[in-house]
Order: sequence, then C-alpha cells, then structure tokens
Amino acid sequence: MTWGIYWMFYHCPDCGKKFKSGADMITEPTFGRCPVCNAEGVLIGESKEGYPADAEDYEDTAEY
Amino acid sequence: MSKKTIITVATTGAWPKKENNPNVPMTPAEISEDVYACWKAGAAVAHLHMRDDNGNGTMSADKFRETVELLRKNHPECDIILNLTTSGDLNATDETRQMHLKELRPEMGSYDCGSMNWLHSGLFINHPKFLEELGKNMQEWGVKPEIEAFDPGMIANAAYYLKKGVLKAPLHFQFCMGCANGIPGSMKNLVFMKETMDQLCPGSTWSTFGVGHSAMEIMYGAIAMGGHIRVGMEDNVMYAKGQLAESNVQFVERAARAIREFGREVATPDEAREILGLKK
Ligand SMILES: [Zn+2]
Repeated sequence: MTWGIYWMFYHCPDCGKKFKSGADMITEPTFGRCPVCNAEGVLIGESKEGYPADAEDYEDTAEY
Repeated sequence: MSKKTIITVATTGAWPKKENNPNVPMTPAEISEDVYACWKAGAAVAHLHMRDDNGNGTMSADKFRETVELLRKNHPECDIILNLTTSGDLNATDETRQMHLKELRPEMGSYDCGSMNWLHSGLFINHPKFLEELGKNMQEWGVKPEIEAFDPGMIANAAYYLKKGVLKAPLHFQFCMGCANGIPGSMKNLVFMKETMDQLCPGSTWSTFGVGHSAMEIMYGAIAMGGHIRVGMEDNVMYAKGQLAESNVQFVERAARAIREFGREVATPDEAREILGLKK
C-alpha cells in the first residue's frame, strides 16, 4: 500500500502565487519557494489535512 | 542476470480517487477490465486493492472475489499473476487482512515487513504477531509473499523472519520508495536497498517503484540494475509533470518500451513464474 505524494501547499507572500511542494523533494532548493519570485512560501495546508478546495490551482515547484 | 524484466501493475491502491485522477479503476468491473488491458500491454503481475462503495480502501473478501471472478469469467485466456494486497485499509483487522488469501489462494500477496508512520498523521501497523501469523499462513496457503520494504530496516526484518522460518527463501522484495516516512526515491538509495538485500537475504529477487517525482529515475535504474518494476496509479496518478495519467495501460506501455529500448525483454506471466519460483 502506498499513499501518493505528500504535498505541502503554499501561498507566495509577495506575488500571491499558489504552489505546492512534494515532501519527497524536501532537499531541493526549490522546495517551498515561489516558482515566480523565489520568495519563501507561507504554508497553508498539507496532505494530512486533505487537499485545499482549489488544489488544482497549485503549481508543483519540482523540476523534473 | 536474467534478460527478462517483470512488469507489475498496481492499478488502484488505497488512496487515489476519481477526483485525483478520473481514470483510476475503482469497482470490481473496472479493475478486472483494467487488469486484462494491462496484461495485454505486457504486465505479468497485477497488485490489487479494493474500494468500498464510497471509494475508500477496503479488505472486503467479497470485492476481491468479485474482481477475480469477473476476470476469470470474461477473460479466461488472461494468465496474469494475481498479487492481492494485505494492506488495503488501515482499520482492517488481522483477520480481514488475510481471509481473502485463504479463500482465493492468489499466487502472490503483499507482506509489509514492518510498521511505520503514515502521512505524518497516523500509523501503518504491521504487528510482529500479525507478520508471524501471515508468513506462516501464506506458506500453508501457497501464496508467495511479496515483501514490501519501505526502508532498509524492513529488509533486516525479513532476514529475521527467514531465520525463524516465518518466511521461506527465495524471497521476493518490492522496494517501495518515495513514500512519506519511508526511504526517499533516488538511485543512491536504490543501490543501497539492493546491497542491503543481497547482504541480508542473498538469492532474493526484487522489484521497485518510486512514488511521485522519483518514478522515472527508479524505473530506469531498476531496469539497468536487473531488477523488476512496478507501475500504475496506486503509486502515481501523474504520467508526467502536469499530465494526468490516461490509464494504467499507458504506464505499462511506457515500461515495456523502456525495457525493450534498454535491450531486455518483458517477462510473460509464465516467465515471471519461473523467475519468482511460482508453481503454476
Ligand atoms: Zn511569488
């Protein structure tokens, strides 16, 4: 049994962008940082709490 | 090193729902048709989970039976190896986790070789008492365990059960990489898992997959290292970044292409039986 990517959902405090980072990428420099302006995101939710209603609007910060 | 690579398809799993990917097969009818399509595309093993009528993971023996019967009835020529999960619902009892194996006698079943935290919020419990009972029962019922190892400690645990006679050599491992609270998916870690297995349980066979971002790295790495591979929506609902998977067949077809491009061959179910030491 597996349980998918463990997501952490963020809002950018500078430009308002919504983005998410997978916990499997936690060592990447892009983790938790806005893909537009590189600001450190404000954590607004994570997988254990369920996905936010607008989960589809969040861009994955991973480069792969 | 065998020239053949086994593709296992994990069609459904316990977590993804239609809202995560509308193409996840959920009902016995959907799952049995999907298994058939994946078999035609090159999968030799199907790792199956069931869902209840609300789409949540369930260990209902009725659902397992219905799925297996539909597959046998509608596609009698399909000789895929069935590998039924024993971990499809965190709230299942030790009894409901195994009664479908006793009744249906699939060729394989999963064996999660240790406990761990789950999604940073709960527990995925595989009590020593349960593992001892399950290992012995699987021997009695002729169901080959697929040892799911989420970290190297679980390989060491399998070595202990081998010494105790709870498990019987040769073992077959599934290295589950990239799950929250498990070993992250990377080539370095895959090499370490395999070396740990070779040291502690020599002569074992192995398969692997990476959940999420490491899926490609782990799949290509396993092919190159002579291991076997698992693909499917249990582990990944995305086919590539920003692209939802259209079907499990899409994953199996990509895996088959990668194996052939590398110069290896896709194992048929009978070839997989040979590799895994299953009696037909
Ligand atoms: Zn920003």
